[in-house]
Amino acid sequence: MNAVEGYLLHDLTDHERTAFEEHYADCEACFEDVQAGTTFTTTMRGLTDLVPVRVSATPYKRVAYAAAASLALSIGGLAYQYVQLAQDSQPRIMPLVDLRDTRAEEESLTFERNARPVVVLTINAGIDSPPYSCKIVDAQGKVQGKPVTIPGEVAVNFDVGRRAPGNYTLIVSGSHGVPVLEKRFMVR
Amino acid sequence: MNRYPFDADYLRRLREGDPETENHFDKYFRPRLAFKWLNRGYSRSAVEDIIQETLKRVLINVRAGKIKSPESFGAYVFGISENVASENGRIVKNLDQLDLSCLDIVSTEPDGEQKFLRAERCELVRRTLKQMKPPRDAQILIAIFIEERDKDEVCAEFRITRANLRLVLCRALKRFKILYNNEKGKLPPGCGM
Repeated sequence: MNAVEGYLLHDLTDHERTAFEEHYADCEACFEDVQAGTTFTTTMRGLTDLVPVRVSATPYKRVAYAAAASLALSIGGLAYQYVQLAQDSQPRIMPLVDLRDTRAEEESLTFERNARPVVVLTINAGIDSPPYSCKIVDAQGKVQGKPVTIPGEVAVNFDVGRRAPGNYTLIVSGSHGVPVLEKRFMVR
Repeated sequence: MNRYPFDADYLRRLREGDPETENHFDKYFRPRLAFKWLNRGYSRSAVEDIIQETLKRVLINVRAGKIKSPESFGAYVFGISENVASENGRIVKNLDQLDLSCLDIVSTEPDGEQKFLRAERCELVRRTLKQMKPPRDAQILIAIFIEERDKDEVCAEFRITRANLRLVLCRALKRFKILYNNEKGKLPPGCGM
């Protein structure tokens, strides 16, 4: 029962899967369902506007969600988000901090240590070209963690919430090393 | 069940190089094989290689009269495809000094028409999700396909079984097909999935 759905959910055993594939090789109706189902599921994976999304927060399992969410919006340049991985075990709604608003961009951000925000930033691609290197430095200018390279609009995860309370700056530089964005934030 | 009637006459026409039959053979199996291997996570370039080699081998065997059961021709083609994929996998493993990502060349950017069709499909999927009843069904699908959460974890959280999960997807697909077919009826000829 529901072999098509089982196939799309990767729920079938190897034997069942092969048998079903040989079946839809001949069966027009089942192949049509597989086509429609694959179109539906793959299109769904590409939808980026379904936030806020319930997130179960097993550490390191949410990278895929971050990828989906971070493909969200770009205005006048390259946008990306940085996402803190969740740590608790309760489903929750990720707060979205949209810095594409000019006034917000000028303000320093403050994050509660466990706030786990999704932040959308605008990078001015006219200053320097991608790929961009993102790093977080502390108040003494010391780089925190490993810099991350963004080859365009790709997800980046910064584990902000695990940082010690203090002031930090997110610095994004283009391929020629020119800083295209600097954003100060405080973890308290 | 709506099975395509492969028979000895079809294979005879294929063996004799009838252009219409050869064209059908290509158009019929190419998408089916593509879905099979894409569904298993193969890259597009690898899938294209598998399809080309599969269709070539099948044609050679048809012309050599090696097909014994015309009515199971579909299963035969898929069986050949399994062999091709298995051989390709062995070849790739032997190239272990190369980073596998080198073999997966990113496809070119979609053109305007592809972007338009994709936007249209996105809209239909959104509408499907909005119209799902109960709304919890949409949340379940989002958890599975967007968040890519573990299915057992999602089933436990929403207190459903794996069979129920299939039913949720089944309801979504039925709704999606209705919407899609309605929309397709409004499109100019030549547009479609």
